[in-house]
Amino acid sequence: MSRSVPQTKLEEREEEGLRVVGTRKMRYDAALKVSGSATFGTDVRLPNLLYGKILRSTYAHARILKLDVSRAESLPGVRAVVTARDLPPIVYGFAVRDQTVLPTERVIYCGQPVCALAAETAEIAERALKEVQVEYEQLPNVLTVEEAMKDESTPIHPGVVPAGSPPYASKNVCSFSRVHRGNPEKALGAADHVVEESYETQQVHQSYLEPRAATADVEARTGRVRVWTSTQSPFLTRNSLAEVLSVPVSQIQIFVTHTGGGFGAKISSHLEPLCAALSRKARRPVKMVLTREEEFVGGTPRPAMRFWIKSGLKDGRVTARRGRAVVDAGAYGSEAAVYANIAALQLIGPYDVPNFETEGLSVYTNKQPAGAFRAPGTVETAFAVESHTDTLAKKIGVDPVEFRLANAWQDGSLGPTGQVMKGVGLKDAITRVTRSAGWREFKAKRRGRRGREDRYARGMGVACGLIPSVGIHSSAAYVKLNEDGRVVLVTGAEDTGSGAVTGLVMIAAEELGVAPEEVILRSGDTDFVPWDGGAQGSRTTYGAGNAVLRAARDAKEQIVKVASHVLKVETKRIILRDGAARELGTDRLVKYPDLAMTAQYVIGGPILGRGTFVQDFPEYDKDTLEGYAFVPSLHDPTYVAHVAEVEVDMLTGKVRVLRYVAAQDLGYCINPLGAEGQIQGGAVQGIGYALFEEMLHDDSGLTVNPNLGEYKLPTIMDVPVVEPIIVEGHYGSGPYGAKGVGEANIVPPAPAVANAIFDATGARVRRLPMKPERTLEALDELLKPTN
Amino acid sequence: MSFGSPYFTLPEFTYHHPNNLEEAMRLLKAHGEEAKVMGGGVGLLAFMKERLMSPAHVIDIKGIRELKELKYTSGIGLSIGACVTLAEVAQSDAVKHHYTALHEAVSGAADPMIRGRATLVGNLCEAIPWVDSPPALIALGGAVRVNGPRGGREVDLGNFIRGPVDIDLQPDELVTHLVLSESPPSRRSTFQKFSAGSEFSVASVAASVLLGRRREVKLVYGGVSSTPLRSLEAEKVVAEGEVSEAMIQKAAQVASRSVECVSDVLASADYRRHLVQVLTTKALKRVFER
Repeated sequence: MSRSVPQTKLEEREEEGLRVVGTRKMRYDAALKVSGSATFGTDVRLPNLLYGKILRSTYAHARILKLDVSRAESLPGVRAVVTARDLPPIVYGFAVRDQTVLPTERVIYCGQPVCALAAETAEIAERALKEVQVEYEQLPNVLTVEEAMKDESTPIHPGVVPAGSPPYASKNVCSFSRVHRGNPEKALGAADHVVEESYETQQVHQSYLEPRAATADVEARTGRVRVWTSTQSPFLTRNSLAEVLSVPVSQIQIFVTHTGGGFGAKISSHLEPLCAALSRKARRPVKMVLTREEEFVGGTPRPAMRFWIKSGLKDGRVTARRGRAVVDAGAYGSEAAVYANIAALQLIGPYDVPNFETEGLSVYTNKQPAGAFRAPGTVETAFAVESHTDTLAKKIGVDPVEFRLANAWQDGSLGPTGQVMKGVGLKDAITRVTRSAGWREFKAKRRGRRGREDRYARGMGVACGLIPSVGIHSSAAYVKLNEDGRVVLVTGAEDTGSGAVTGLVMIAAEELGVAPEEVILRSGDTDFVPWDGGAQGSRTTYGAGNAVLRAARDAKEQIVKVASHVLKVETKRIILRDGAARELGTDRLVKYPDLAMTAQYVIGGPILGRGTFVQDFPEYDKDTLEGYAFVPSLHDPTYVAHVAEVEVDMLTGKVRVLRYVAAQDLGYCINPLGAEGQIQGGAVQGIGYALFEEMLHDDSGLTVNPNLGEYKLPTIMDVPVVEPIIVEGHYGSGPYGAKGVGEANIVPPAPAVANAIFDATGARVRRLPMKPERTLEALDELLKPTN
Repeated sequence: MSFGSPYFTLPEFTYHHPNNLEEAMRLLKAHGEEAKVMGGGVGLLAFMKERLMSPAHVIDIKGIRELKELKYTSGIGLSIGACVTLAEVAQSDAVKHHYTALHEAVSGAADPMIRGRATLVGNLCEAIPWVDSPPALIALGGAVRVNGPRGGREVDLGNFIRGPVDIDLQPDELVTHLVLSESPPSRRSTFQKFSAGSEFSVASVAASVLLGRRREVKLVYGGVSSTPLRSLEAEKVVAEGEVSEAMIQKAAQVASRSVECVSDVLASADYRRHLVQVLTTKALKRVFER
């Protein structure tokens, strides 16, 4: 099925002269946030509000022998306690149906909600948690994928059907995906060099500023559910809430507050079901906010992954690859299945590899369930693939940049599942970033100076990546013209803090010839805004942007018709500029207030534009894919190339990033200020992943660093100024040729830093984070006699 | 220090805000066992939120003017009141010129916001292993002045900090000042720490050397164990050896062997022992280079 895409290319738009898009625009909500007047999920207040808390499992795996809430219920001020018995027996999960809101028989990770309660004050609710009596019978737990895959290990979800029919007998494998092309075995046999490596990545938390927060009010008489929440996707939250509460979607109204970051963790419902169940039972509104510690123990982090990767080289090209990615899924399988699926696609990186077989599987363990996190499946895989790419270049003595340029995709290259790639800006990004970072000069100056004689070693590393502008889900928008000439933009898209929605305002302003300040943005109420897939998968500028573009053009057509009527000229002689419809080549015009009044009072009917956007995945070869494929092909990818310059303390293994340059191919950039912010933010988050962040568990499955003191995020002191480079001209099918922005920039930092360490010292760190102790081990490894 | 705390609120307590020392002492006498003294509150409030401490009374001493003074008197020494913040200590010229190790420890502690709030005496009374100032103060021979119903006393810091979160202080007593005697011009001191990024010290060392015919040496290690530790063995090497690269290397090795290190989420004991060697070398080089 083919759907038409706005095909207006930048060139033809430029003839008309773009006035708003392409300029550096401060985000529309900047003043609200800087002044502290934006209402976040944690700020919601309603009359008669109760405060909800969750009692969490203290065992990684245990049978619940007894759950007695009577003492908590009878505590003065406690208004409701909710257990599994208060919820319909729904088992859910989009890829693997293995999840319930509250457990009935067993708990399967430390931090899992066991029951929830609501009280008059937060203090009473906190005290009441201690009055809940739970008796557990501890069961054997599995905390690593190796253990979980052993024949004798305890199945965590006996009887649950895994995604993608894994060809493995193991009881805890919960998804399988495989991609292949050509004959990798034969090509490996014919290769000049074969290199085989293993890599390991860690579990990390999204660590947004605002913890999860929701407030629910269930009307006792009608059962109508109203929820105020900070979410990335109000409609997906509504859907999942309807499912687990077994109520029709139309019974639920979601209000979206400002959201203090989500990075993937706030797409679906999380707190909302418990909050609504408590409100329904208490017949009062209930508010729930997680503490930072609860976020860590009870959140949905980026899962740890393990990689095995083997490549064959012939004549400076990668001719063969075999690869495998194993996702440590934690307690539930659905999100992990997506990681494994994407890992299988990304195991060839953005390179021409004619023969390959890659697979991804996910495996249950008794830990926090995997959740989406900016560029899921890609960030981890890129650490393995891009580190490995440097190892390959080193093997044949070729500069890593030259090696990448020789193997990189270009227009016409085949994607992992056989799609024909278009608008590939990768080589441009590599060239621009290395030139800007002074790659050649650095290498020339440093040649021959390496070794333990210096306390500090310097190195420069490069890494690439790609992320599709995700085609899943649709977007829609309305554009109205008010009687004062201002434009109302109604969208289902949400801004989690990325600033993407500012781009939507700019698009509407551009198309209707008004200043962005004249556009009033309305969103965040599922009863009134059109459906949107939400802020995920780099899709807001791209998907919602296309919907807004169409809605604005629909409104424009209507405006032109009215203007034609008023000015008595043909529609094609009318242009929209500076808040008025004007006759070309004359000074005759009708200002928007008059035009809107004419439309409403004289002609009848408001100016109301409507636009929608949805697109299938690009055409691909179905025979290349086996197993679970949430993402079967790559939708208009944005390409990135980053360069890191580091200093390694040879005595302690401490790595400092001295300089960081990041290029991203955006097709056409709607708002450079916003895009640069995303590039910088992604790079910083990626450096945190590279060097500092790691959730740690003890043998009982307890998270031992569930706080921002011991879980180390980078501060401004730990990162250099990230120098962003926007690459344009390799157009995508977003508005004006734009591509998605928000995720790709977190992909290269870990391998770029690893490759810089490799360049500086010759030591290859194969496990994240590259904390001093681990880097020192890799340095010591180098000095060991090899025999 | 945290176990997935579900608490947003503080436990219930009565808040006291005495304006002078006598009032504070009266309150301590009345509520002693059930009271906690609050300076900057940086540590106490976090502990209370986690329910690691639930005092029924919090006595906030920030209103006591006489405890806000940092005073250096030539020939006598330095006195730092219990309400003096780390930032104020860091900004003091006297500290910078006469007590280098202390200056270095407080200047690089935590971040500017915390330094602006946390007090030096609070640092000592909390006795948390990875805090930077105690090793420096122990190396410089610091003492705390304690006020109590049985009169005043002065306790050497090496004895004051008995263990993690364990100090020589009765519930009805208050530490009013940190005192350091006049630092002779022949003393060289430094504080060196290692952290992966801008965060807790994984290991630190404070070195103080009185140059002269009989060299007096103190090497105090922080962050490596549950409490600041001296390496008497390494001190001996430095005190008795000829100043040379070889002596410094030997002292560093001896320190690395003799200082008992622990493993935790920040680092392994092995790595800490390695850091002790690296930091000792760096500190001694600095001390003898000046």
